[in-house]
Amino acid sequence: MEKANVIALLEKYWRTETSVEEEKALADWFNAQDPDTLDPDLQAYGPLFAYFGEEARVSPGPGFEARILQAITAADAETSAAAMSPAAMSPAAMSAAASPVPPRSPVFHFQWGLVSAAAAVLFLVASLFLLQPNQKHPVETPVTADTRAVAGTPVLARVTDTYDDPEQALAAVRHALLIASAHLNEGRKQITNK
Amino acid sequence: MKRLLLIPLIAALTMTARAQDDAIGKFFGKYLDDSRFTVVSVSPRMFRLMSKVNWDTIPSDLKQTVSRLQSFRILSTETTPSVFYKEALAQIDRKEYEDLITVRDNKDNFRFMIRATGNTIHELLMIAADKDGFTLMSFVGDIDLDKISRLGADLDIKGMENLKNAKRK
Repeated sequence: MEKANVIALLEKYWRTETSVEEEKALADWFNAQDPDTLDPDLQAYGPLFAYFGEEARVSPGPGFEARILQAITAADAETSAAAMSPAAMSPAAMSAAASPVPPRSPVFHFQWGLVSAAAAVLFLVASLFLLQPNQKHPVETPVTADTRAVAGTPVLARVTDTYDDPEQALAAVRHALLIASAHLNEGRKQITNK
Repeated sequence: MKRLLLIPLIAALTMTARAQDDAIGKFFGKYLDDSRFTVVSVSPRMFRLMSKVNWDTIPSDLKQTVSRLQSFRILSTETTPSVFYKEALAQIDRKEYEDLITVRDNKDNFRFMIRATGNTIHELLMIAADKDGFTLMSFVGDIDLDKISRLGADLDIKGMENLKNAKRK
C-alpha cells in the first residue's frame, strides 16, 4: 500500500466508515512495517495498531470462569443473608462482603454521606450570610411566637427581662398598653377635631 | 432527600427570625446600657409565662392583645427630652416605619409609628416627649390597633395624666 492510500484509509478509519476488511488491511500493513523505517507522518499510528493486535490476542487464564462463578455465588449468599437479618450485618461482615464483588449497599451509603456533607456545607455558608447583623435592611419575615422564642434577638439588643414575675410583667404591659391606647385616642380625637 | 433539604431551610428561617428586632434595639441599642436611661423590657419568654397568670380579672380585649404580643420594651429618660425626640425621628428608618399619628401641641409631643407588611402590623412604636421626659415604647407582635385603642377608650385625658404620674413615681 502506498502512503497516500494508507492516509486515505486512516481518514476513513477515524470517521468510523471503514469496513472490517479495510481495518484488517490497515492493521496488517502497520504491523508489517518496521517501526524505525516507518514514514514519519505515520509513525504515531504504528504502536496503536500494534497494541490493538496484542490486546486482541489476550485470553482468560486457567480457571477464570470457575473463579468468577465462585465470587458471584459468595456475593449472592452475602446479600440474601443481609436481606434476611439486616441487624446481624456487622461491620466485619460488610467488609467481607465487599471483597470479591462489592454489594450495592456500601456504595449507596457513601453517596448519602456525600449528600449530607454537601447539605452541611451549604448550611454553614448560608448561616454565615444570615448571621451578619443586617441593620439597614432587616429581613421582613413574619415571626411566629415559637421561632422568635427559639431565636431571641442579637446579643447587643437582646430583650432582657425587667421582671421575674409574669404577673408584674403583665401589669407593666397592661399599664403601657393603656398609656399607648390613651395617646392613640387623643391623637385620633385631635385629627377628627381639625 | 426532601427531608435533607428541609433541614437547612428551617435553619435559615430560624436565623432570619433572629435578625428581627424592635426599633429600640435597632436604633437605640447604644442607650440600653446608658445610665441616663431607664429600660423596662418584657421578653418573649416572659410573654409565654404569662399564660400561667390568673386571667379571670383581665378584660378580654386586653387578654387578646397581650396574647398576641411577643416582646415589649420601654426606653425613657428625663434628660434633654426634646434632643432625644429629634434624634429618634432622625434615626428611625422611614422605609420600615411609617407614621401613624403625630401630635404636637404646647405640652405634648408624640408620634406613633408602625412597622407592617400588608395589613399585618408587626410593631407599634410610640415616641413621646414632654417637659418631664422622653419615652420610646415598642410593642412587637401581631398588633390590632382597634383593640388597643378600645383598651383606653374609657380613660379620658385626665385619667391618662394620672397614669403618667403613677408611672413616674
